[in-house]
Amino acid sequence: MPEVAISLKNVSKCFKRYRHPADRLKEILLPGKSRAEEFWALRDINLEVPKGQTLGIVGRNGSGKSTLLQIVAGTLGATAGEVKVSGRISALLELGSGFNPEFTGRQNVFFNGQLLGLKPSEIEERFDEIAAFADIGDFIEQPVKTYSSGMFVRLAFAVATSVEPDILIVDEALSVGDEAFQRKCFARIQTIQDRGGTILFVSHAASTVIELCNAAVLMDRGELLLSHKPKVVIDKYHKLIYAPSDKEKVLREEIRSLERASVTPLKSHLAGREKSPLSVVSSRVGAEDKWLREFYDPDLVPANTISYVPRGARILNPQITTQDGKIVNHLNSRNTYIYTYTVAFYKPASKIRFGMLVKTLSGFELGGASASASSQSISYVEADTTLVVKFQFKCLLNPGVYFLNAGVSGIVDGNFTYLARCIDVAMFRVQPQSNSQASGIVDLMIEPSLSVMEKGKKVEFV
Amino acid sequence: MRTIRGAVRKAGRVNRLALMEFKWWLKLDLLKTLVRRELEARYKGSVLGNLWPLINQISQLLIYTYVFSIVLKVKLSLQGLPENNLTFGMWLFAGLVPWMAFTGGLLQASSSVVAQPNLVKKVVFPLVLLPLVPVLAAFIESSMGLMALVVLVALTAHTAHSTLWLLPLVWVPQLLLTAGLGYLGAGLTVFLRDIPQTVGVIINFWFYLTPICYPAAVIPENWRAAVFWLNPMAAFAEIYRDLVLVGQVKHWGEWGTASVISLIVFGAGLWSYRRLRPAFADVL
Repeated sequence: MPEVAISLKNVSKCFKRYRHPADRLKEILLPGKSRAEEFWALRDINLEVPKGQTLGIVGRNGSGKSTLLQIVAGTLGATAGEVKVSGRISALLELGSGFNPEFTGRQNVFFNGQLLGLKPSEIEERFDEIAAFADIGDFIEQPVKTYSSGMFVRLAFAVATSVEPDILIVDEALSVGDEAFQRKCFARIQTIQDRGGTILFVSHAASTVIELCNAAVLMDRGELLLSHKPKVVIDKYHKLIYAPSDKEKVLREEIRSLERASVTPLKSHLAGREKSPLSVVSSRVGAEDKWLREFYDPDLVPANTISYVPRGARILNPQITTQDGKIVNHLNSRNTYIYTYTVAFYKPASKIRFGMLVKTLSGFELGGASASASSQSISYVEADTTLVVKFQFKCLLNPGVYFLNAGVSGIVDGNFTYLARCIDVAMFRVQPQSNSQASGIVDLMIEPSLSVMEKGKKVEFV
Repeated sequence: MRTIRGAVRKAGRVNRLALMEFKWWLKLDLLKTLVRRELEARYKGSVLGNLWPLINQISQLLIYTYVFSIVLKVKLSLQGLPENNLTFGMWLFAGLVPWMAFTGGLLQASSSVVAQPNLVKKVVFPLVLLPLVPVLAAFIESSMGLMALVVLVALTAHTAHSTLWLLPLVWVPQLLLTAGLGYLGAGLTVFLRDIPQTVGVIINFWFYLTPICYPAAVIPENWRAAVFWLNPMAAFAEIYRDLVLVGQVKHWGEWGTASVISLIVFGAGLWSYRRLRPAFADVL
């Protein structure tokens, strides 16, 4: 059995809300009736994180993730339960919160290093490395209040990770800072992983959790709903976010039962000390089991479909199917699917065209096509005709959520117009893959390769 | 209800063990850094810099000497020193030095926790150090005045008393008293923001109830013992005068009593601070 770095047993945290802070004082010092309204931020959390593992924590806003991290870090006390943490903790709960703006970067590095348990002489040894990582040049001798927010974050991250923590706690801190710096941070996190450090990682970015973590837990309303492999947890998490509020309860129960049913709790599937996916050279060959199955989630439907006032036809039944006809809305990249919808005409029309369009979450139009019926026998349709339109497409998209439009245009009552058009009529998710290194929106099917260059060849720098 | 409260109490205990343990020498290093920072920050950007505490003390010295020695003509006789305004000034100053260290430290300690919410909520920090920082900073500042006084005495009396070596023995209870009340004030201020103002008012009363700007001999005989019993600051002022000006300890009894009281105050202050500390992060 691997050594346990963090162990929480029945941990609960209750925030008491008082009408006046003095009421709290009375309650602490004098026994008697409580005047507080109670708010349970965490209920009965049981969690064991073995040494050397990277655990992702996901959940909606207000689900208790940060409270959990604060309790592990020790800045908050638990109301009930047992917290055991072994090893030096470095917490990036909020970058640079131990910094005093009046002092120089150097002075703050020393002070923060001491807060993290280093002796001044040890900080002295690491100082150059910290300054190099932060890469803020002469500003290290300037008061921190003159820093840009990026410089601030870089210095704070450099200090927090330079202490070689046994346990690193990262709370969405990395979303600040530019891309180059984020990459540097991830590389640093990876070295901590390689050295056998334990990492707790909160992020809303599904792909980061899947890439970086060996395991993940899903928090919801102060409850630890599920601990499982990152992919599974992220899936359920997304399902929960998009669930309509009346179905939430059922869904939570369903996830809970999955948690109960899993005979392999977090501990055992972590026990294998699998290497973090980041440190494994990615290969798609033979990675069949790493792919998630395609499936249909009835809750993943657009909340706001905009339909034009119909002028002769109705669009019905928009759906995506696999080539074998199975209805899905969780797709895998590089597979072929069919987008299909039914058009019911209630007026005669001619010169009909059918259209589709794929868009990103932000509305960016990625690609579409239209099918013209002019070459076929149905260039003119009678009233009460029903047609089925199929668009086969290859899903060359990177993980994310996408929306679909559907439209029919043609001549009706002597005018060329949309007979029917629906914006955001369907949506689908491309599922993340654990070994995917692709970035951006479109999957260009890039095949990276490396080779060593012969010595003595002249290299021109760009 | 009982079981819940039991569980809560148990959780508090276990949790303290789970927190990152700061070894005492790390805490000491941290305290040193914090005190240095505090002193640096206080006069950062000012032209006279670290001369300011001395200027403050001397200005108070001049005011009190004028009011009590010249206007009100308070008389006192000290062995070995001539009776004049300069003597009164030195005598007054010897009482003012511990007083200013005490009040300066106490006032700032009271707001030391609320002034640093980041250290309470966002980082793992040994909160027990927070009220100690201003207490020590004020003490170090006051020691500049003390050094000036020792030099002045040496110049006027052409001698330095061997009793100066006993000074650390009075510093210990003096710091314990300041820190104890500082802990109490700092803990309560988190919940009741009126505390620093209240402390200010109390200190005003306390100043005139302590024989600093008037000799203890003018307190009616049957009250005098009670003042020294109840007020360790009165004893400290007298002992400073004994050690620095007279060169002979005349107040052993008061010294012992004051030390015991200071120790009790420190224990009680620290206990209440630790009791209140778990709730700090929830309130700030």
